[in-house]
Amino acid sequence: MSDSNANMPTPTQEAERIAAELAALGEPELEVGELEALEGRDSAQAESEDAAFVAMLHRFSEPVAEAVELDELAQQRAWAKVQAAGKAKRGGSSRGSGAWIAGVILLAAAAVALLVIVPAQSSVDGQADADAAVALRTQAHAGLEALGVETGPGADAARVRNLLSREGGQGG
Amino acid sequence: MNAGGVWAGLRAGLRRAQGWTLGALALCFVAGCDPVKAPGPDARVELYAVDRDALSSSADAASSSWLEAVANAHERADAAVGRGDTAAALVELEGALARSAPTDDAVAPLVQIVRLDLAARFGELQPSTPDGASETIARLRPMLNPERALPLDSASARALVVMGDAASLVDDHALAAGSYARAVKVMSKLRAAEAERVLGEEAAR
Repeated sequence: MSDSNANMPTPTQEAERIAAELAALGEPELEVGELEALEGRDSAQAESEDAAFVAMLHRFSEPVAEAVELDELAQQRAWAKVQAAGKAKRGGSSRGSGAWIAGVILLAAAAVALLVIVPAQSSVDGQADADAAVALRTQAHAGLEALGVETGPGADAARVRNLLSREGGQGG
Repeated sequence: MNAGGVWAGLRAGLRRAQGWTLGALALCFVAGCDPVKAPGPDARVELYAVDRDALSSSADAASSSWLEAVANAHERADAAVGRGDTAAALVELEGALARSAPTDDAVAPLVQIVRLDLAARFGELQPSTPDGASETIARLRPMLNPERALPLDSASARALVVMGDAASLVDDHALAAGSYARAVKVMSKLRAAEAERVLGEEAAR
């Protein structure tokens, strides 16, 4: 310990070494203010930070394989979760697509029925009505003529005057 | 997307959409064939017997005044037609139709007969155009509503034929066929009533 105390680096050297270690680890370099803060530490703070630094180095000295295994296990678990979630998602989308297709088919069938079948039926009915109207028109006009209903000039006035004179009758 | 999932989705979709399918089919049924309206033209006609002589004898002062006004309107319309002024004739007939009619129940059939003749003549004088036909239908349709009983009189038959002619002009074949069919029914019943009257008179001799 006395040797380590004798060989203890200056705060500046320590700060620089910490910055180098962090850079090696991929951590962002210390900002200027942070570096100065490290340089300005007092001895007690320096000792506690030294102990933390040593502990950190000790952790780094642990076998890399173990850390990798733990990470790998965690990674495998995470990957398994991702795969399971992906399968569930793919299965749901298939069902959703099927329902969507079914809905489109039904809507198309309804649209065909409304746009094609109904107008076609209406067209057939309309033609039948037109044919009936033509046939009945002739019959109706003939019947009106047979009834002897006068519609010429003066006929209507005469019919009303007949009612006034209390001598009205059918056919005018 | 896998085939199994799509098929499962189709089945599920079909089950879920069963209600929509039934609704769409019901809509098609209603749109295609109205279950309330009978197929073909509406040829319903409800008639009640009238006696013009009896009706005219029951006319009071208010009814006589109204009949006089209508007769004058017809005569002015005749004069306008003689001048070739069909529009003026239509104005006269329209004014007579708008005139307040007697409300006494005893002369209600008489009022209905006279108004039917007025509206029929109004339709006969209308130009043979879609606009003229539409005017005629607008006048006659409420008076000839199948829900309304009509007098068993030539005025009803005439008005129905005029409405049928107007409906033909605007290609309303259902209304035309229905109006003609109703007119034929009225005329058939009129002839039957006339035949009964003649037979009754002969039997009385």
